[in-house]
Amino acid sequence: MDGGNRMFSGWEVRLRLAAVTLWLIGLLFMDRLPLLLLISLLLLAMIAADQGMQMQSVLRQLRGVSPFILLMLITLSLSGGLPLQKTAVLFALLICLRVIAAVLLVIVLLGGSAADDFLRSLAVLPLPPVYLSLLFLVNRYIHMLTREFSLTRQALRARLYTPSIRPAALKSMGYAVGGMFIRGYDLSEQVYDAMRSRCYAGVIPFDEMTRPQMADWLKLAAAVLLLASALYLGKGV
Amino acid sequence: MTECMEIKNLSYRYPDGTLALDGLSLTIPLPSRTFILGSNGCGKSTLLRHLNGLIVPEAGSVTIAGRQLTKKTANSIRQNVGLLFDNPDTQIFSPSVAADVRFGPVNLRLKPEEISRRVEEALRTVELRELAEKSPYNLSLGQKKRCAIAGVLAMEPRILLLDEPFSGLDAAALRQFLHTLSSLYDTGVTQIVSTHDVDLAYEWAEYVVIMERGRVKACGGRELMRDADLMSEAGLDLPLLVRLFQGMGQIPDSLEQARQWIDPNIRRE
Repeated sequence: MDGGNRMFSGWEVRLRLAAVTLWLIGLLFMDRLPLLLLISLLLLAMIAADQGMQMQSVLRQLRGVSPFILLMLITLSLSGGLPLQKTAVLFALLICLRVIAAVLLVIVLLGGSAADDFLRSLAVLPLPPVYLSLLFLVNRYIHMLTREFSLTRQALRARLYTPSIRPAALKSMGYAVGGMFIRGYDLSEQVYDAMRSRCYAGVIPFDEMTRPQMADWLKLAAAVLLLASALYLGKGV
Repeated sequence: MTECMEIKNLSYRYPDGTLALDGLSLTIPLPSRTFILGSNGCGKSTLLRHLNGLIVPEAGSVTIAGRQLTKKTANSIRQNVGLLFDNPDTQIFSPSVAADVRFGPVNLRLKPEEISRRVEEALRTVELRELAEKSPYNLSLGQKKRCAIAGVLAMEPRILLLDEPFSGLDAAALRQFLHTLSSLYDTGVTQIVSTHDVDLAYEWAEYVVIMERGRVKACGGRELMRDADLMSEAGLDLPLLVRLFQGMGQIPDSLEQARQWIDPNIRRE
């Protein structure tokens, strides 16, 4: 078994999905700033402690959404006009904290689990298999294109290419990117053939997952209990 | 009646107009270890793609163990005829070795226990169990080839088509790969290998097919490979053993036999 703390990443995906969905709904009913801040910090701390998740990638994801949150914070704060009104700023903070908590919950849901496991957990829900197959293939092709991109970059570097805005450099980059997409397309055709040769017939049948263990159910129970407590505290008792 | 794979008047032209197969007719006995030899572009890979049903014959026919290959039968034929591509990077696409191996059995809609058993068995056969959770992209070429073959083996095919399986392998990886193929052959899996490695073919083949420009030039036992004119016309070299013993009266069938012949002579001197 995996050593160390794997509170989220080791959690069975379907039960994790159920807990996160409940929490996402619960967030809509929380309107106390300190509580939302506490939840966000707590989630961040628990993610950091989880050895199955990479904190660097979590921070990268947070950094990716931060411009949108900042933009939302500014526009909502200005919704009452200038000078800034306290209610508008508090409302903006409330929405932003909800968004941050929601992003962290999604990280909890997706972080540390293989995309295949996540898709298999979705297959348990009554989702059309074609959409799941599409998600599966998109995920694979993104991985392959990323790899192709990395190989193209290495090939350029190996021949002493340095990126710049000189026409010759831009032209080389254009050729490389064009070649990469042609190769990517060619590769996808070949992979499609490889899949067909292994009896792929248009839809990926996701095999059954293993049953959740007692620990997974206990984690779900704890998540529900914490949500109930947070909602109770949020009522201002 | 002996089972066989029968190809009659098979022709195929690629969309760009290249004629890859030109009225090819051939009968391959089952089970057997058949080597398809020919220079680059002679149609070996296209033929293997037909045998796996990736290309359904437009002109001519392919019949495998009594079942004719059509669009309707292609998928069920693929369950029994596995294809190993020449480049493992185009065959492997999953995030882990185990996930890639289970792709085929999952498509066969087997029970989870059966899927697990087949994945375990296939990984054990190719000796990759310890790398099951690794990303296949980080493996060496030899390991990638074994991973790709595990993906095919997990479907438990009766016939294994191998497209240029030995290219790019170093001596150790080649030895291990041949060991895997040998143990599979012992379990009754027919192997049809496309290659231009005449030395390996001479050592391993039971049945040899020599192709040239989309047609079968000759087929039969490995003694075909001793015919200098035939090999030269097909754009192939003579095997090293044949070249070495040419003009000495007798040509050994294998390196082992050659050593047995040479050893007493050396001792005499």
